[in-house]
Amino acid sequence: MAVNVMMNTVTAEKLPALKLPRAGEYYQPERGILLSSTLLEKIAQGDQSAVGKCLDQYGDLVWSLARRFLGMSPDAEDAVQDIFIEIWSSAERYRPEAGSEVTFIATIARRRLIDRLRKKGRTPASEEYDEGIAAQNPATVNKLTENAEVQNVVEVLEDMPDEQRDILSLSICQGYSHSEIADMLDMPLGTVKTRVRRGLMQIREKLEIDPPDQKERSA
Amino acid sequence: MSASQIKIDPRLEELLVDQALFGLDENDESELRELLGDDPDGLENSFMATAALAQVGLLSGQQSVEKMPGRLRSDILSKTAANSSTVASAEALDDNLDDNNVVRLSSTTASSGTATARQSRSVTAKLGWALAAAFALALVFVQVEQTSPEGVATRSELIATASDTVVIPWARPASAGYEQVRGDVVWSDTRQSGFMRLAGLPANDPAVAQYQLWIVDADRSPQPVDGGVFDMPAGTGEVVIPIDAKLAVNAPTVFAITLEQPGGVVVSAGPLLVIAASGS
Repeated sequence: MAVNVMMNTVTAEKLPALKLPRAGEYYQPERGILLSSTLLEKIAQGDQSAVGKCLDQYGDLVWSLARRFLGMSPDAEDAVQDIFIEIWSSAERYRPEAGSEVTFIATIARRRLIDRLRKKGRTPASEEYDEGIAAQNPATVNKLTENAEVQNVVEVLEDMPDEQRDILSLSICQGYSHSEIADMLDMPLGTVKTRVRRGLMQIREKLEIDPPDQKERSA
Repeated sequence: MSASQIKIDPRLEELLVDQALFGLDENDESELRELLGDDPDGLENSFMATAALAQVGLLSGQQSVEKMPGRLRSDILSKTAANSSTVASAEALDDNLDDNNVVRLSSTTASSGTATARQSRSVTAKLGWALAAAFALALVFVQVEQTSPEGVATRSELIATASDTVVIPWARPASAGYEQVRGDVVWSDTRQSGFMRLAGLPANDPAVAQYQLWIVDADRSPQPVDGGVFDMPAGTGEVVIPIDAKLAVNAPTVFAITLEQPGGVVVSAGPLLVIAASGS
């Protein structure tokens, strides 16, 4: 059957056979192809089912990052909500070829948490953080370490001297300033600065992070 | 050359490291902006991403990933759903709609060709879902809603009352004359009810051709289910049209609109003019 209709500027002349996506695929009319997509891409397309899946996959991670920065305060819950709202709104900027979803999401989370910590008066959360009462989730850890980028960074960290890794942890995970770390570890300030910087540069070189089109500037 | 191989000014590097670790005060932030310029090498994000990934690595290495409280997960979903109950994306909205776009529509079915819908008009202030929220676009527009034959009065009622409602935006159409079409499909499996929201769909002459909706059901593949025939009168802004699925639809993956002979067809040869596809 062919229908010839002149309707405004629309003409439907020769009608090709239907080619429909199967379950798990989505249609990219501009490319004329079917692709499976990442969670962030699905969210960018407005697929709400991907929102729950994204929370399942990355909720524990973002919550853990927030807990380390902000402790058990209600602020941590507010921060996690804000972070995920920002993730939904930034999803369209995600480019899988430039890096993994976990990096994209953790970068957004880190920016927001640093902003919060600064507004809060830069009081790290360690006094409020209690490993004993935290319900650990080894399944999420296993899932994270399946990611190649996370695997690489874990390897770099494992190769570091314990002291340097501890300094990085205090600085990166818990938001302590160089001088606070120097006081805690009874170490010269210059040494702390050098070790933090060196550790970060080591990781950066190993990871070869190069995502110029994924800039996530703070709002 | 990757960002990590670029030779960086020592002061710039110090600021980038400080920013990635602690954030910067206003003075340092302006100094960083000056040194970065347009940041053609993506240095700022590169350092922040490094610190973020290091943080993930440290947590993983220490087995210190905690389970997010279920209540928090529900809160986030509720907040997202509340914001998403109206619009799939900010760009799907036509912000030029006004009261002049309120029209009376006729809805026909492929089998009977009779008008069945009761129309209602609602003027609703709408903020798109979380995607749109971040764009800070508070947009007001006019909807023309028709009632569903299954008894669900409106699109908004379906969204509010059916817990399994999915909202799928139309993909950006590639067919000539349809590139401007925006909107979404709302569907509930349990209610077997849904609505199409369409803005920018070219008007049709019902005596010559009518639009027809097709639903691809993964359980009924390959033949799509007839979702009903409808018209788009000239001068219409945004319309909401009930979906009239002729068979039960249990696993919809694609909603597609074709242009067919008056009254519609039983089996379409396409082409697919406008498509909404679920990735799930």
